[in-house]
Amino acid sequence: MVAGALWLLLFGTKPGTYAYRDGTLVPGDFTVVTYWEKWTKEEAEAMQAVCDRFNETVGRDKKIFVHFVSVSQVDQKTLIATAGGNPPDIAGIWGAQMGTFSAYNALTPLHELAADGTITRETYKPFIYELCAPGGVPYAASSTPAAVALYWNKELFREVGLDPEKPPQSIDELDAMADKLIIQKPDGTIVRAGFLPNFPGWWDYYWGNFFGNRLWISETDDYRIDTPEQVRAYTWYQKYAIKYGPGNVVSFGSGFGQFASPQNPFMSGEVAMCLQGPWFVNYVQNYTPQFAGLNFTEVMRLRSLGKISEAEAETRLMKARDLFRHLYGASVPPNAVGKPSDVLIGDLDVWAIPRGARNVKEAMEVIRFFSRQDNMEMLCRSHSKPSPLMKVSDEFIAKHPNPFIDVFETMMRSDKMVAMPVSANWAKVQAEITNANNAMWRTPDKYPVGPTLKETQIAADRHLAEYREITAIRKAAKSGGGAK
Amino acid sequence: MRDRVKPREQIAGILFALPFIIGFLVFMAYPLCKAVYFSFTDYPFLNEPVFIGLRKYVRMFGDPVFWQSLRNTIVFALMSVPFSLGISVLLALLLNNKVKAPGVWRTIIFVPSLVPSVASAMLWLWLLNGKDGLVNHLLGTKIQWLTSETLVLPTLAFIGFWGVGQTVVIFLAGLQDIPTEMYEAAEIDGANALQRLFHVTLPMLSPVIFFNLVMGIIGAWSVFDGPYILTGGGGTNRSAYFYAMYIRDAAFLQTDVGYASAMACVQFLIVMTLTALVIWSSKRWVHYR
Repeated sequence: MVAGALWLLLFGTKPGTYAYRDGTLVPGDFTVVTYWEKWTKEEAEAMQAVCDRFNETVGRDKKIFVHFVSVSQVDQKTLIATAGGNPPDIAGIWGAQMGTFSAYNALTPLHELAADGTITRETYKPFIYELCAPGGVPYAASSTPAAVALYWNKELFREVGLDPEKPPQSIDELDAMADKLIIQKPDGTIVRAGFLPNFPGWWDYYWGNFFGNRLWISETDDYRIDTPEQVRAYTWYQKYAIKYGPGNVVSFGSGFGQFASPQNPFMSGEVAMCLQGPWFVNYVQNYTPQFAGLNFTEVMRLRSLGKISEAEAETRLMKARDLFRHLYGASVPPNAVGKPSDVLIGDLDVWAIPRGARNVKEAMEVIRFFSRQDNMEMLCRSHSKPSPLMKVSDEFIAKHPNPFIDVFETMMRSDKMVAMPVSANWAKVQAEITNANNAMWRTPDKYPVGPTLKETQIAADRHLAEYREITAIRKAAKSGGGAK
Repeated sequence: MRDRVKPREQIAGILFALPFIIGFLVFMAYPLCKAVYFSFTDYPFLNEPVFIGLRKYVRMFGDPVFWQSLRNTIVFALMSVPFSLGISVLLALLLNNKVKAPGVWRTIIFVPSLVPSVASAMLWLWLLNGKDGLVNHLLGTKIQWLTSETLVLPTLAFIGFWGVGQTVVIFLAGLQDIPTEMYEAAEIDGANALQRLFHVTLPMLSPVIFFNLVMGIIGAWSVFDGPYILTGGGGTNRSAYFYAMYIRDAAFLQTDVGYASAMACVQFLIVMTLTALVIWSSKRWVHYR
């Protein structure tokens, strides 16, 4: 009893208390694989369902139980747990962390999964392998991927006389539509915006790419922040703040509600167009009243409780797709380079095994299961995302809750797609860029584009120089030369 | 002749003090020594620390973000510490008077300090919202309290009064400790209310002011959670980016524990120096009975 109490105190869970969904306890001779994941609410539920599927099938046969834990700030907590020598067996981190984690040797190489075909260039859609295998070493398997699209509110398009089926094809068209959609009071107060390049602000560092820049040079791990293309991009970015009034856009932005809430400005109709990922369809359906009883999460819940039939569930999902298509559109974002499909931005979540994980072999078994086409499609469908795999079933597309899945799948298959830099310095450089963008947006008179980008370039170069110097010292210390 | 402490009593004393001593050694002294050691290394959390001498300190002095966070923290401390102390003394003096329902007033002033800082930050975030905030609504303005580079620090210092409850209670205890005979003597000597305040109350309260000043300086130098939430991580162009925020970001976002430790050591030295200065100056203005 004392030992049990001590265990409970130290580890929080008594041995043998992991249970299947039906309440049956996991036998003591099973290996428990701890899996930390960033997702919460519906997205976490979807992942839990895949874990349940593993536990009830392959897991039972191979005596492995995967214990899914939804963890906030999973990147930082994984980092600290790894440094402390007690990491989870599987960590569901962001693709953006791959550069840092791999550079600091924080992940277990997954050669076994590369050998059996789970992690290969051929298995995944074009940009994914580079992120999972920095420097050619397979450090992670892809979980759910994303492409960034331009969403627009068709009702608002209709209201101002724009064709709701025709999204902007160029930056000039985007600007013209934004100007038509904005409602500003005589005193400058913005009531509704057509488009604001800093909303939601998640990919602001890539606006330069939409104007022909290549932000990160992977071959040399350098950043191009003050190029003429970047200056053009952020002059356009800042132009929005200047033409609507910096005070007005800042004031308007400060009233925006949380992303996952009905107060999200796109959902509330305060912003007519915005960049977002495929998951946005789920969020819109979950937080707008028009989709009550039709959204994927609710339909699946009712179906699992046996309250509606399979046929009824399918009918409701189709209804939701049609309704979404009627209310909103999603397409490839325009750019200043050429056709919209010439510049594409991607994003990725990954599964990795932190260095020092206790159950590496079993964790690989779990990742192998997650990466199987049927499970991957089940997860991606629930998250309203495309699949990272090249091979997708017809059913996946036909029954996908995202009415624009074809748009996302097409973007994902393009070799023009770029994702975030896989660089150890990305976090530092990103912080500099974000700071500069905020300054240029909020106070354009004080922070003109050219000098601000130049300063940001200097700051980024300083980080890179320091990293290179320290790396050289580390190499020298490793080879016995000692620190200079 | 000094009384000798019996060995049994000595052991008992040590045993009673042991939990604190162990806690201090494990959770304070050891991390402090480790931080000093890490400040001379490159330690990206996931790799072993490598000794690099004073490189992190050299980098610090050429790092504009370091100087900006230092400047912001100094300005904030200069505004918030006197402001909070002044407000606290004022409220304590008011409460010390014969007001109606003193318990109710004390509770009203003390309760906000019990609200978790994150919750109160969320509250202020909406009160000061540039678009729909109650403060702007009442003033009939559209002031960007938290995103304006010039207004953000005074705003944050002003918000500090929300948490003065504990300081007020300490001041109140100090005020009630002042012997009434001193006021009576002053009154007999013909001192008016203002003279009694400056020549009796404040000098007699000076040990408490001294204590709260030291605590205020330490608090201002480690300010983090409220401003972090209110400014979304440091405000426009890092106008409210405080020293503690930079330490946290360096350690956990940039995985540069060596640099974060070097900054923490500098912070420790600054706070030590300021505290020593206050203690040194206290000989001139703190009056003990």
